[in-house]
Amino acid sequence: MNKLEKFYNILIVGVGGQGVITLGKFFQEYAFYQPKIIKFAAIESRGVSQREGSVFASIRYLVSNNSPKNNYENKDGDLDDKSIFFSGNPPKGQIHLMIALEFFEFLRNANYCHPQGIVLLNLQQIFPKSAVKQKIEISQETNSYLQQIRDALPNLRIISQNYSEMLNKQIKKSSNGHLNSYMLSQLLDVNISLFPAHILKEAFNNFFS
Amino acid sequence: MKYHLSHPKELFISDLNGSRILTGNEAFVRGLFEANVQFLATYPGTPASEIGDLWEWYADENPEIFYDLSVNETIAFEAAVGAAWSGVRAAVSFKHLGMNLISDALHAVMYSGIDGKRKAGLVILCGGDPDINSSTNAVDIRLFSYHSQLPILEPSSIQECKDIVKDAFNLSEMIDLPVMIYFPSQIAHASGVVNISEVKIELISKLKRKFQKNPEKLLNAIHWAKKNQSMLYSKIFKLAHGYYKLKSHDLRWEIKGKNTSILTKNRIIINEPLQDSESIDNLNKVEDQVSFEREPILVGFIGSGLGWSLIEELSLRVSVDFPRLRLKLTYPFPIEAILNFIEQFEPELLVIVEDLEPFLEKEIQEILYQIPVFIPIIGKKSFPRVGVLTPDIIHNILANPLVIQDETFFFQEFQDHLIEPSSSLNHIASQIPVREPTFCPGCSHRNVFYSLRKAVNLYYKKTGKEPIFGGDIGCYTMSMSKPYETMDWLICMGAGVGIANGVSHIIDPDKQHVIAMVGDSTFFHSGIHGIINLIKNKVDVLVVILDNFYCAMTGHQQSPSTPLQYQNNSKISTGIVFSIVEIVQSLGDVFIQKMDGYSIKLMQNQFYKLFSKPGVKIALVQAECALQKSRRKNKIKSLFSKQKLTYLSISEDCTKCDECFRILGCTAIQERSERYYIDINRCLGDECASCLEICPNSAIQITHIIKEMNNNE
Repeated sequence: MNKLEKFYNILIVGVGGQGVITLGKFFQEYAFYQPKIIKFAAIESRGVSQREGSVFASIRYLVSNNSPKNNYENKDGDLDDKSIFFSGNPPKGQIHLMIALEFFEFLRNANYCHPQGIVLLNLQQIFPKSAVKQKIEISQETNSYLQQIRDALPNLRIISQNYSEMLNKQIKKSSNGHLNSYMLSQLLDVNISLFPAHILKEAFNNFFS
Repeated sequence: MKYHLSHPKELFISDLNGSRILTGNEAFVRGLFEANVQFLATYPGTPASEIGDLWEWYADENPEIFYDLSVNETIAFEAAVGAAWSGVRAAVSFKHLGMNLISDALHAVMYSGIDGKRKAGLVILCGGDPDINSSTNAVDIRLFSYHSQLPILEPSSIQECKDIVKDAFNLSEMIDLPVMIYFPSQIAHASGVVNISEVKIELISKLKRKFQKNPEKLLNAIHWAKKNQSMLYSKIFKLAHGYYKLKSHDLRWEIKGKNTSILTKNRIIINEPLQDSESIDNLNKVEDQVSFEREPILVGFIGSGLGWSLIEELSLRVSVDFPRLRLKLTYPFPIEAILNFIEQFEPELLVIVEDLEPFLEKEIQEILYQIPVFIPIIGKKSFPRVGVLTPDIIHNILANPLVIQDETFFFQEFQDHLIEPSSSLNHIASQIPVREPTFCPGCSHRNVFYSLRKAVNLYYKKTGKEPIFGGDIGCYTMSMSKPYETMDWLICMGAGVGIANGVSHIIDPDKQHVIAMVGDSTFFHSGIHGIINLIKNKVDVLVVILDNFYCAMTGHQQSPSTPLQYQNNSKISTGIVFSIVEIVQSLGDVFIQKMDGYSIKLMQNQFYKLFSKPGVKIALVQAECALQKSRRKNKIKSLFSKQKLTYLSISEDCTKCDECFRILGCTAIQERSERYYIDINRCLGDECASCLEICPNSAIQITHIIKEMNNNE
């Protein structure tokens, strides 16, 4: 890897049926919109859609810090997939952006967060039906867990809301909506250099149109 | 523009140019298309299920293309063999467990081989599940090649998933043998950019297709079989030793790295003996008792498939372009590859990265022994045999003390770049309970196992007879988890009934009773044989056949019992429906109780009555998969501007008795601010309403709304 290149790792976590995989696909497409992204590798868990299992989508960008090379202008928009190999598996402690669509899945995966990373966290809790008996003790500890995460990673930026409730209010007022695209739209306000608003908006509109 | 496929049919456009984001499975299918394959047979299984689903679109539009969604993997493999022997390029796809089934046919087919001169190669696409995410075991199917001699190719990227298919057919036709492409789920379900260019599709027309008689080759008996066996060994020997004129050695292996790119071996010397409680693994605690000696070392890394992408990433992580050998052909092991690698770099140590068994490692050890040369190996004695390897796992092991040939050392560069998450974060992760997958909202299986659990509990209370549940593979497997816990074993397709047979012979019927499960697709796959055996033996077993009309677990593929009106409007819709009732009735005097999966209390009574009936009795629960039913109805609804929607909600009368939330365990019922509520985005009120039936406090309300829909939404 050239010194002017580095990884930018994204991990989306949630529960089957919340739209994790679709969000993962959005970030795969985004690689074509952001000229700084040279290549990506992605992997996702499958088979528990609608079934309340843990789901993740991992997207790893290889990013150039050099003068941006617009992939659209390069050989019909090809991203080169032949010269560099790397795994789509999320590396622990190296996730720069985590989108957690469910609270417990964030706790389960917090050890993947980069110390200076960003987390967009939905505070909604969907407790596993298979472990309902443990619910009381775990729920009582949730604030303590969150504090332990803040202690361990003081520079981790956690942007948290109950986005599910906010979305439900919005649905009641106007039209349909999905948690994944709703949370993604919140990223516009987060100010991440790899996701400038104009590129993010263009990719968002094209993907969800 | 969108870079994902807008429709599966895009995979079959010959003049498609540019980049697309494909999954591994999509790339394989594009590869099959570009390789002019005309016949694909399959039995669905994660992670390979989508290959057949996608191919169906091609077969549906082109009369020269064939698709066989077979009843099991053996039947699929045999069909593909027949197609290849009749003059077209043929492929078969299945998951690793299918390899166990085809094993019998495979060994003899390897003796016979295929006819490469006719350009009628045969490729097996076999998915693996080393992490056991959706299988009952992680069997390393590469080991089959030790005895079957089946050549194996392994792709390392999504681009290669496409490109390797053509290579596999070329190889198959060059050596007159079937060739396997092996890929774990981490490749099948990964996504990446695939560069696609225009291809010329040349299919073999019906006029030119013909079964070519060749008794000496195809009859594996007496002297012919021995002759074929010798020929097979000869072909494999030649392939291993590079006798075949392949286009380039790139098909078999690749070497990267520089012999100046060394790592630093940081040797640990123990100055004072460590106490029993002390471990060299924790250097911070014993640093006063040890000293370190650094020396440069040239290390060669070897891997294939997914292991290769791990090695490449490790090289990027530590910024050392160390020597590395990538094997694309992993059986037979290309001997030249290891000889060239050792000659070129003279590595002092080898690191071999592979999932599961030490397959490459044993081959390499043997070659080194025969040269002879001694090079220590870091392989399966250091890396786990359980689970899928990741860059983090390998990185961590190389950064910490390793004991090789009486030396204890670690690699300084790996330790320098090691990032270990805080132990408190790991502790939190370990506290969060595993989210065991359960049934989808609206699923009739939930009702079946809710009813069954209630019925067996009551029967136990009345008779003292303990229920024994024979589990099988399908959506109903999820009944093994809480709150149902109606599964005592889970082994393989058909073993729910098969093992129940032996159990029922041995147990005391006054103390225990046996309930065996099987799904509709599993019934045809291998369950029927076990049922025949039960009936033959006249044993006391209740067989619950859960017929949801599809192979739902793997993506709603059609099953032989899919009713005509629900069959896909495609080529595989033969217009034939196999009636499970009629098949079972034809087996002899068996009591069959038909059940409706949405009548919970009725099912409970029916189960209870069946327990006391002697002999084999069948409970046939028929209810269409709720997801599929809902999708089908939504398509029709979307044609109308006004839609009738059904909503279920929980009223203030709810006492939180847990009957719906925990005991029925519907995932659409959630808790918020100490109250239960029904998530309208997940509830399939139109199809289910089971919570309404079981609520003892009548606290579930049903509302029908006519809503004006904006169809552009």
